Amino acid sequence: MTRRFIVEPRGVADSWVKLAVPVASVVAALVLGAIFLAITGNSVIEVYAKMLKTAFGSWRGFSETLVSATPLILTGLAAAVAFKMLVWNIGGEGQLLIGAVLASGVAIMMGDNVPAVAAVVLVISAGAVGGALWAGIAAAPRVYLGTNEIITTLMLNFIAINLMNYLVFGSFSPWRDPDATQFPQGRPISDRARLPEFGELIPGLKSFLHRLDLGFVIAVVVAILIWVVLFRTPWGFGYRVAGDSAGAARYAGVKVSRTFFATFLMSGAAAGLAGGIMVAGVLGKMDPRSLELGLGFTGIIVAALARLNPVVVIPVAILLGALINSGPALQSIGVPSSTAVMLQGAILIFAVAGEFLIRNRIRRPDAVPTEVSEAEGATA
Amino acid sequence: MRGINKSFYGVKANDDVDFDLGVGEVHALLGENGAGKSTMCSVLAGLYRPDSGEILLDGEPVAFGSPKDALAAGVGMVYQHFRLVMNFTVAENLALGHPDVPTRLSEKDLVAKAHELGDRYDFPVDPNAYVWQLSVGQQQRVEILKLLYREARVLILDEPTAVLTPQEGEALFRTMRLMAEDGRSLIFVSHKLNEVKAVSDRVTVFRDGRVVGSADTVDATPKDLARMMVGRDLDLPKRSGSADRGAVVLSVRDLAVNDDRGLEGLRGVSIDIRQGEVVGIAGVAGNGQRELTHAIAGLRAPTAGTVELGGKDVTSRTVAHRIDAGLAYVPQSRLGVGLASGLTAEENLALKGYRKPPYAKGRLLDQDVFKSRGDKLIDDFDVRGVRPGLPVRLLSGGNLQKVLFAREVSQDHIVLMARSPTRGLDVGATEQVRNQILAERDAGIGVLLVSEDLDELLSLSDRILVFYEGKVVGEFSAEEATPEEIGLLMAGHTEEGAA
Amino acid sequence: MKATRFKALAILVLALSLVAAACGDDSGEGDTEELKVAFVHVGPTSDKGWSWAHDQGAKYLEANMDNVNVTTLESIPEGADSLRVFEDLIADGNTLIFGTSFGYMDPMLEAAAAHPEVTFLHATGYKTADNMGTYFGAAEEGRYLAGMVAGSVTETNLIGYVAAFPIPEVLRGINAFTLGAQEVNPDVTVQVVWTSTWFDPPVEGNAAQSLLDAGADVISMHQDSTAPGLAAEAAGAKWAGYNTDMEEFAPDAWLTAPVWNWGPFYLKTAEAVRAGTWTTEQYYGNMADGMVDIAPYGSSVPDDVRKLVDERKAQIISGEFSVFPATVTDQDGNQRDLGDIFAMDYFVQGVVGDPAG
Repeated sequence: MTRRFIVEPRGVADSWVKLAVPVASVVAALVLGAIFLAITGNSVIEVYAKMLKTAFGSWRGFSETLVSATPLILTGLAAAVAFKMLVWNIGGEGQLLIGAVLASGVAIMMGDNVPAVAAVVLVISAGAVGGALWAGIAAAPRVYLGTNEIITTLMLNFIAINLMNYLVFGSFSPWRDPDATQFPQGRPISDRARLPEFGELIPGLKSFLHRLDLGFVIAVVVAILIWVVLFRTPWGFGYRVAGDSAGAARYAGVKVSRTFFATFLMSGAAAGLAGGIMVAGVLGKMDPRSLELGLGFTGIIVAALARLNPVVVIPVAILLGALINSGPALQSIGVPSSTAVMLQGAILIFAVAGEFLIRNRIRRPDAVPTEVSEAEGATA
Repeated sequence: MRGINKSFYGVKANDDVDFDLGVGEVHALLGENGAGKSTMCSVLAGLYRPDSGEILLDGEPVAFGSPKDALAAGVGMVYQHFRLVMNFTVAENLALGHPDVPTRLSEKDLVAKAHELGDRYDFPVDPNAYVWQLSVGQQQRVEILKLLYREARVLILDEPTAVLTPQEGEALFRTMRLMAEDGRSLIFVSHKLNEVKAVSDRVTVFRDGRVVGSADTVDATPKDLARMMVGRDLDLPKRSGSADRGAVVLSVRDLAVNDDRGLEGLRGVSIDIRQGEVVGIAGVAGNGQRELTHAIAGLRAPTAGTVELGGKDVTSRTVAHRIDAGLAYVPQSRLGVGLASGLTAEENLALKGYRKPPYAKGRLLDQDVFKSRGDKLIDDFDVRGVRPGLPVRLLSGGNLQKVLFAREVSQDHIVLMARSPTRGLDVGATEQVRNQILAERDAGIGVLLVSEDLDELLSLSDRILVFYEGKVVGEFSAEEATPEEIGLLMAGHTEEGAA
Repeated sequence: MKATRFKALAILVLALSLVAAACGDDSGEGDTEELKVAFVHVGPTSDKGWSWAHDQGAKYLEANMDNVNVTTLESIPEGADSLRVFEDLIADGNTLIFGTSFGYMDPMLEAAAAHPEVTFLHATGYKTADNMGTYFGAAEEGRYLAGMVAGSVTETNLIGYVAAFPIPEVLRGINAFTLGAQEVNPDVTVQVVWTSTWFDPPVEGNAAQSLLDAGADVISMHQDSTAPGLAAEAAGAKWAGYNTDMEEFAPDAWLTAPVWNWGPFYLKTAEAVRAGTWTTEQYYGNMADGMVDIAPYGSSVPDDVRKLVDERKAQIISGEFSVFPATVTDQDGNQRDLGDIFAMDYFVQGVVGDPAG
């Protein structure tokens, strides 16, 4: 059987390809979206202008975009760090939630008894630890028993969701607010354990950055730190070799299983940190409805668009945050919510397809049958 | 088969091949890797179409467009890599794609026929077992059964014993003889002389894509066959003189190592290599070479025995420790083992040394050193085609080997271990690699050279050890080694047997 | 490599902003008389349940008020993220905003504090501000009547109740329903299954099925989907719904349902805001003012039952009859004061289940 087209890696993409393809793919996505909007009877320009204006058109919109981007940076990092090492951790969602559970648990336990800075550090660290522990539940059997981490991390997501809901809705646990009699809610954490907003640190910034807090800075710093670790340290070098080919890594003396395990935990810690930052930041409590937004899964999209590069994750998360935030605003100009969701999906699919074209080229096959290498190799 | 020609990428894999197969005959094809045996079989089985030439079946010219056509005409092949559905039962695999199922052949018939054929040819298979439950030998039987179900009269077995234990191999030979007595014709691809002697009626020898001779097996002496197979017409110059032999730098004692299937791949081998000495390991692939090199490199734990590097026991030490102790290793797989295919040449050149200065500076890596050392090695070793950011997988085989050698040779080492270092390289690159190995020897490095290329071993080695079934079956000094003797040993003929 | 990527993004952003600049600001804000009203729903307005009922109210408002501009946002998740949705609506010039789900409470309160010029109305919540009121209705009146119907038709005397969360609103409904059923059938038992979700058809359907399997021949629910009704229909049982008239989904099973009629309240509120007479309150509607009603009876409800229930309904509207007596018998058989029905945390006698979830 011969194939009509062959997809093959491009090797080093020329810089014009790197520039042209993402631009072209986004333009293509917008054009497709435009056709789609026109068919459904919406004004194309009005819709796109509204999206842009909502996400970037005002200081408030911009700060909200950054608020949304903060957890996405971290869940994006969680996926990027894992996938580059071929750790298929799709449990970022559950790791984020357990991070939030542990972070709020530590905050509630401390009450008002710990000084502000230390309390914040403890709470968000607890988030990272929670995420790493939750990832570890899948990592240990993966490394020692060879279980499939895709399945285990996916299952652990459901366990995490149910555990979180149980703590607030299903029981009178310390996480549940005893004062909320009408409807169960998370217990608010002490102000001392809250991440300060920019506007609280520098009063003049309040009218620009609104409720944006230091969590965003932490996320950016973590992204840069991870980049340094992966691209500028010996450990990171071994990590990259192992991610490229485990055989070469073993041959070069890299402890592949150990690296794999550490990567898994690091990935979980990043996702858990997102949960911790949300609790200590915008939420101020473990609020299941504000946490269960699929941020862990969206992080996978972020990582894919960022080509698993930890630093590129930052702008991609911001753009994705903008895209997500602009969705509800479209309804206010008469675009149905389902149309808005489909438009977002179209833009993402084209962006991913564009990345694929940067990495690969598609060509007609040569006249040579493709089985040659296999059959010849067999006798070797 | 008359005048079969087949080229891949301009290389003639079959050059004017003529081949005759009689009814009820077991016909062995002998030849080194890449000699053209498999290509001819694939043409006969309909997998490839010949560039020219014709195939006559019972005197009638036939043209097979696909393996299906060939099978319909009664020609089938058992590939080295089985084509079975692991989650299906034997009977289900037999039914799969069978033209008479389910119209003319019920499941009951299938099972009954499996038992009948199993009895007739002495190879019982449980039709209701799942394929994944079967041993490799039993899976092979299912493959043969598949062909018998389609009434195949010509069965091609491509190196069937490569995956079998000796006992399974003997059972297979019995089955093959029974099938031949039943009027079926078999083509048996092998490069083991004793197997050919044991089972075949006729033998045809391939070399470099051509048929170099055909004979009745009883008339052919193993010596003749070995000579035909190895093709001893050019006499390569050997390395000049003998270097100063110093202390033992690599010592392997009674080493036993399991292979991937958990069977004993290496069964008690002892080797000493001194400074300035090239020790060659000859043998057909799969006779313990891989297990030996893996155990020395620390990639596979031995079940018994010790490995010493520079006089120190490293048997239970890590890979990294052995690298630091002075082991340079050029593995058989350049991409995926020797080199990380997605990383750049610069990065691959640092693959062994990145943990230490000058690459590591404090907790960070010094990017400038990557660049400067990389540039220098690329220059010194004349690596072509390197561009910044280019993953090495896009380099040619020769340049890959240059990068590998550059890295292994440029670091502090006392032993160089290389497996099939010139495989797939063109003449120029081969030359460079061989000179490199001799230069290492002259610089006082102990070299362990594993190769299936006898010319290479004879021209580079000071001593040659022959591996067969995980054991050293012969040892020759450079002076006394002859390809005929080595070839015989490689094929499993011990001195007593051959005499 | 990184540089080019950032450049690409920068160019993209620049290009988009040029497009935005070219098309200019929204137009059509010239009329100062116009009242811009926004509704934010947690579910899709097509759910035929809670959000649909509110959307009907919004449509009523739009049809009955001059120069009103209604914006409807659906499927907006509850929680902290909803703050930006309210902020966006304010930025778009909306001056009256209805949030129709409990989980918007804190974000709405925050937005209300930041925008005193905007009026907020929050359904089902309990936090208020000078510019934020709450509204809800006495669904228990409808529940009681639905209970009477259910109690009349059950033959096994076991009624299944698929309930969302163990909170006062839901407990109140279950107790009222049970009292209604007991009025016509003292032997009836109501068995509760918690789903921990407002809207999750498979979960709700399974919960209903488990009750049917336990012998219930009538299913009641405090859920926003029709799944329990479909399960009842398939089992040949009866069904008392919630929110809206859902007869079309399970015509054989259908009995009736407590339903919402939000339109008049929305109209009244919008008019008060336009007139400048609105003041904050915690509005609790009922059958008398029309916010609560019951859906038309299903064909299988006998005439005598209809008559009985209609009489009770008239008494509720006139104020002659109150759903909850001053003292009740709780699940354990103890007499107790009714207490604050907005903090109800117990079941009355005849309910099988755990009021704590």
